[in-house]
Amino acid sequence: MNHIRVDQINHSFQTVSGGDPILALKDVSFEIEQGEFVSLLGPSGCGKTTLLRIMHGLIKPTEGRTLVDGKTVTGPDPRRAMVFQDFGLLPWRTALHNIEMGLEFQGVNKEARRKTAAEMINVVGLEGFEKHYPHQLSGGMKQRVGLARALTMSPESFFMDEPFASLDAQMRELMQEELLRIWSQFKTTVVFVTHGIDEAIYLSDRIIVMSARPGRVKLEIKIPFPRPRHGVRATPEFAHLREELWEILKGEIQYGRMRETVGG
Amino acid sequence: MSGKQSDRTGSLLGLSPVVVQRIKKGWTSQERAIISTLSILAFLTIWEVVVIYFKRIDPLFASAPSIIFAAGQELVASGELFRHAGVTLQNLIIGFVLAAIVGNFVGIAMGRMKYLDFAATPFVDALNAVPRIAFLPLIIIWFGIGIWSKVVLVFLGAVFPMLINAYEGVRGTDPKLIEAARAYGATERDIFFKVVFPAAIPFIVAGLRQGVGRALISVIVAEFFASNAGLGYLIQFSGATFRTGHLFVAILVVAIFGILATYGIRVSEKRIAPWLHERHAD
Repeated sequence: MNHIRVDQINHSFQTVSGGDPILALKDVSFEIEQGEFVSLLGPSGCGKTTLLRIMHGLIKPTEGRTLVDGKTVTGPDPRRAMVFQDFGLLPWRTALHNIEMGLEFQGVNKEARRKTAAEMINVVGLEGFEKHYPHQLSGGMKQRVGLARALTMSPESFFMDEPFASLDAQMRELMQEELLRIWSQFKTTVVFVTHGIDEAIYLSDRIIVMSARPGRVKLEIKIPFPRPRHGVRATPEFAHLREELWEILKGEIQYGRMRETVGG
Repeated sequence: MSGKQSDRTGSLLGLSPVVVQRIKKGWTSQERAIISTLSILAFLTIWEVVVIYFKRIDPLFASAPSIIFAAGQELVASGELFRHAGVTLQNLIIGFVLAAIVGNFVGIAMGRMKYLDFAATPFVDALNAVPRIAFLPLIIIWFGIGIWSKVVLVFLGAVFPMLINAYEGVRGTDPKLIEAARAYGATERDIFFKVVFPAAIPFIVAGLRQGVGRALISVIVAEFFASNAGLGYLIQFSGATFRTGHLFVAILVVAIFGILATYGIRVSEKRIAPWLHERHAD
């Protein structure tokens, strides 16, 4: 049985100004296997972030459902550990205290929480920064805190929403390496939302490319590169794949723009 | 002033080259302390000299530092100053604490409960729009001129900034933080106590600071009209009997109260929410 199955998700929402509801997602269906690293790649506004939240259970879809291990998703679940683009850290808590957040909500006692959080600090390489506050940390470090928090849940899956989009280019590549390093230890299922083609190819086993709004699955592509993938960015195969995906994505971006100006 | 000139001025004033370097670069705290103090001293000197020495203005009218000092001594010796200050402080504290409790409680409740918000807002807006002094005659009718009329006016003055700030603090919680908490299994209760309330604290403290300022105004005004004790009464009585020296002493004490109160809260504001005041590391 596959780990996560998205079944005919359609989603629309009302805008603040009223008027017709906007169709964000249309007939989205796909499957993700246990331990697979899957990226949702698409132009901005295609609904991939909404889709991620629907899959997690934070949003209820207008139509359709998500199944995890055969059971329908009815609400958010910390076993699907989420990592956010803007980090989602409480500014009044230290790094360590933020990492404990998930365990705290689960009712785990203080000692056990401390211990697990301290372990995760080591896993993400933030030793010495336990007592730092988020505003004292760089973007990359903040995201490591976010990752550590996710890891404390011993999650069945990671749901990552453009986690490196707020970081500068160098930090982003570093964090991609870090993510793969950590992931290879646990080999958990990962659903990764991004609009970065390079990132998607480098990280994933498979990419699900989405169309412009309303988001549909445009195509699924399996990444043929074996792991570990350290030098892969320099290979001609990588470049080819990148070009291919870029052409597809570019088409979708232009198509989406055209439809918006025409009022479709 | 050119570089060379300020160097010379600096050494004329007997300042070391190091200090002069720093002064050229920006507004140092040393410079600020020196000049502020000099400015106050200059002002007091001019005042004293103009009134007492040159007899340019009638001392009954303008008073003078020496007169004020003497009046101060008199008031302290007779215990009157402490008595009035004590009364004002009492009125202030009781009214302020009540306002803080009610204002924050209701503000937070309104922020969380939509229907309470909709129901209460017209009253809050209406009462807030009226200068609180307008209520004084009504308050005197209802509460007489004992302690309660002062407390009620202080309450009315202080409660609204605190209510509004608490409300804004609760409503303004970053939705991304609430989402993150939900994603990690927070219950509604968790979300309130661990996300919304801590996020609102800086706003609540700002509300306290604003409330203190208003409370002080209210207590003095109330003591003008509805009292026979307190600093406000002292001001009004001294004015009526042309004791300008006493008048200034009372005003000075009120000013000190105000500065201490707002300064104290302002300092703790910086401590409480450092992330709001600092710039990010990246």
